Parts: sequence; C-alpha cells; structure tokens
Amino acid sequence: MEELTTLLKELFSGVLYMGTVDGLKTLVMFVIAGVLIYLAIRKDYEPALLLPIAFGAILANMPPIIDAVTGDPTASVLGSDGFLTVLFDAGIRNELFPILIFIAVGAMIDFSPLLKDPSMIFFGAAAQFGIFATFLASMLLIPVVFPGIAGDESLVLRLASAIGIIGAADGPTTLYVANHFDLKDYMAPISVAAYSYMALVPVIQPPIIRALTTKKERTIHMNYTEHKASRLTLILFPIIVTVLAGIIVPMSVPLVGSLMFGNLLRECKVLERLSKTAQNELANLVTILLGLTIGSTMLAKNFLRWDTLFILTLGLLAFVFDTAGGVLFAKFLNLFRKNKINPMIGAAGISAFPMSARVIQKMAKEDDPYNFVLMQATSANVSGQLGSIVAGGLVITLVGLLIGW
Amino acid sequence: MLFKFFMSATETVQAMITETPAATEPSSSLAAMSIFSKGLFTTLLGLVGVFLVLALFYVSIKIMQRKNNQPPQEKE
Repeated sequence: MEELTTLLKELFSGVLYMGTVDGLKTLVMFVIAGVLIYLAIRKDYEPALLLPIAFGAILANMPPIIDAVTGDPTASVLGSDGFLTVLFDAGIRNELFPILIFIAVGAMIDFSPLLKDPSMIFFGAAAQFGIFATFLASMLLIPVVFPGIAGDESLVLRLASAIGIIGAADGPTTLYVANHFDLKDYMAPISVAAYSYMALVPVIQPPIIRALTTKKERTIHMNYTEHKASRLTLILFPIIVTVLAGIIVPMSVPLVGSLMFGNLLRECKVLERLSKTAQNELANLVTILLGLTIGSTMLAKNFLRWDTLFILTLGLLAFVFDTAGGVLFAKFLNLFRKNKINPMIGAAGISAFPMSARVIQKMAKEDDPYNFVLMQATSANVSGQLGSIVAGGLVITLVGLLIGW
Repeated sequence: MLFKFFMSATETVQAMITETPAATEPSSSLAAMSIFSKGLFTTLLGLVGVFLVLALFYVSIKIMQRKNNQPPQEKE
C-alpha cells in the first residue's frame, strides 16, 4: 500500500506541486506569460520577441523534477542537460546571441539617411542622457530600497549600470551589459523591461514629447538637403566606425564590430546572399533562441520579487529621460540656430529602430499633414543605434575600471 | 617633448596589456571615491565619451562627403 502511495505521489508530483506555495507562484508566472502572449498576438507588441519569451517562461516554471547530476529540483528544461540550460550557456553566458543579433540588425540598417545629413548624429548622443541619469538614480535608490545589498558597492554599481542601459532601448546591448556584469539573477526583469518597453515606444514617447514641446515647435518644417551618399562612402563608413570605436572604446568592439560587419555585408553589394541570410534566417533563428532563453530566466523565485518592480519602474524612467534628453537637446540647439530643428527629432535619437522614427513622423503629421520629417528622424534613429552601443561599451569600461571587474 | 610623452604613454599601455590580471584592479584613488562620486564620474565621462565618439563619426562622414563631392581633377 505504501509503495502504491509513493508511486502515485511520484506519478502525480506535478499536480501535487501546484497545490504548494511554489505551485501558486508558478500559476502567477503562467498568468504573466499569458499577458505577454496576449500583448504579442492581440496587440502586436514585438511579437517576435514577446512570444518566445513568454513561452520560455512557461517552460521554465513547470513543476520541478530532481536533477540527475546536481540533485536539485528544477524544471526538466533547466536541469544540467536541459535544452534551455544548454542554450543559455551557449548563447547568453558567452554573449554570443546579442552579437549574432547585431550582425542581423547591421544588415537591416540603411545608414544612407545619416550619411546624407550627418548633423543628426548628435541626437544619437543626446538621447543617451537617460542611460546615465537612470544609472545615477538607480545607484542612489538601490541602497535605500534594498538595504540588504547596500554594502555590496560592486553589485550596486553593476546593477545600476544594467538598469540604466535599459534606456538605450536596445535589447542586445542591455543583455550584453547585464551578462558582462554577471547579473543572471536580475536578467529576467532587465531583459523583459528592455524588450517590452521597446515595443511600447508608440505609447511611451508621444506624451513626453507633447509635454515638452509646443504645437508651434512640433510643426517646424525641416529642409532635407539631398547629398548623395556614394557607394564608397557606404562601404567605408562601417569600417571607419569600427576602427574609431575600437580605438577609443575597446569594450564596444564586439557590439560595434558585429553591427558594422552586418552593415558591410549589406553595403558591399557583392554578398547579396549573405546579407539576405543575415537579415532573415540569422535574425529569425537567433530571435527564437534568444527569446526562449531569456524567458527561461523568468523563474518565479527570480521574478516575483520587489526588485523586479523596481527594475521595471526605473527602466521606464530611463526611456522617459532618454526621450526628454533628446527633445531638450534639440530645443537647446534651436537657441543658437537660424534654421530651427523640429525638437521631436531629438526623441528619435533612442535606439528603437525604426519604430521611434515612425512615431515621430506620425506625430508630425498629426499636427501638420504636410510636415515630412521621416528622413531626419531616421538619421537620428540610426545614430541612436550607434550611440547606445558606444554608451554600453563606455559603461562597461568605466564601471569596470571603478570596481576592478 | 610630445614624442617623449607619446612614447612613455605607449610604454605604460604596453605594460598594462602584458601584465597579469592584477592590472585590472582599480587604482587606490578611484577605489577610495565615495559611491556617489563614482556614479558622477561614470555619468560625466560616459556622456562626454558618447558625444566625443559620435563627433568623430560626424567628422569622418564629413570628410568622406567632401572627398565625394570634389570635382574630378582634369588631366593635364
């Protein structure tokens, strides 16, 4: 009889687990994953990422089994030989997936609007203000909100760096920084914040822009001077950017180098097949693997904590600061310029490409149907891509220098 | 004078990259800073650094544009 009971307990261990406190947490995680799936499918918010993340979260929160190697109870996909553990070790722990994603992104980006109007590049720098403002805010708030880690200066600085980088609106860079600083326990909220806020750019940016600009400013028309970017320029640009960034910020080389390699594949025009592969097959494949693997970090014990809410809130703040930084920088420049800049362009300096540029054009049209600022906004937007990578490299370098990491 | 400075700086960097990992330890003056000073240090240098690097990209684009827009020189 006792043997039968044991057998039944083992057979229905998953069902019995759902009645425990941990089981209830699992249900909460299923609800969160359900919300992400709803946003992905019904609202079309970055479905390519949110759907794999949500499904990865469901898989990772399944009732545990005893791991044959470690003896610890874990979900079968996360055991020593679990496929999500293998993917994490192969693609996130060694920073491979973000790098591969950057090759794909580089192959998708057309830098010619920026090469025609390079003055927009400074908005890509100004809009990184949010990263550093949020870094400072996080650094001050972490010891107050979580006194437990206040004494660990290294952890405070590393965590503040990763939270600040959420403002880059650049998922791969955020993952790269968080992973570099060995923040596996915080990876789930950081990556979920980075990717979900990227999807929410059309919701987050417009109210901030409206609050900081007048209708008169938003209806400023900008002349678009057409300087044709030659093929040689388009080919030289990724090489020069890689070399310059590599010399000045060596830590940014993996990110800049992979982005620019992808772009060179696109612009050289003799590797059409490789360029198409990077834009489609590579991007799709790595997105699936990256999404599932990020989702697998959303374990109830790591996610259902106060610090998740804290990271999500500060991540949102980083987006707000970034947008405000770009808009205010444009307004500042207008104090000295004869030909005024539409300050909304500044907000496109974040890295969410091409969504932010589209949002700005849509807002410009709402106020004046004949206002066309898409090219300038796109220039600022691709500059934001460069700016966020450089900012990521600088944060790693500077914080690493301070804590000896 | 400038050459001497460049050479000594190069030797320092060479020593840094050939030394053991202990070279990555923060210098005592940096480590002694308060956490807020460290945050300000990162913020200021980070922002200046981003502007500086993107300004260099700007200059390089401008140089490429200028070269591209130069009329081809006539052969004598």
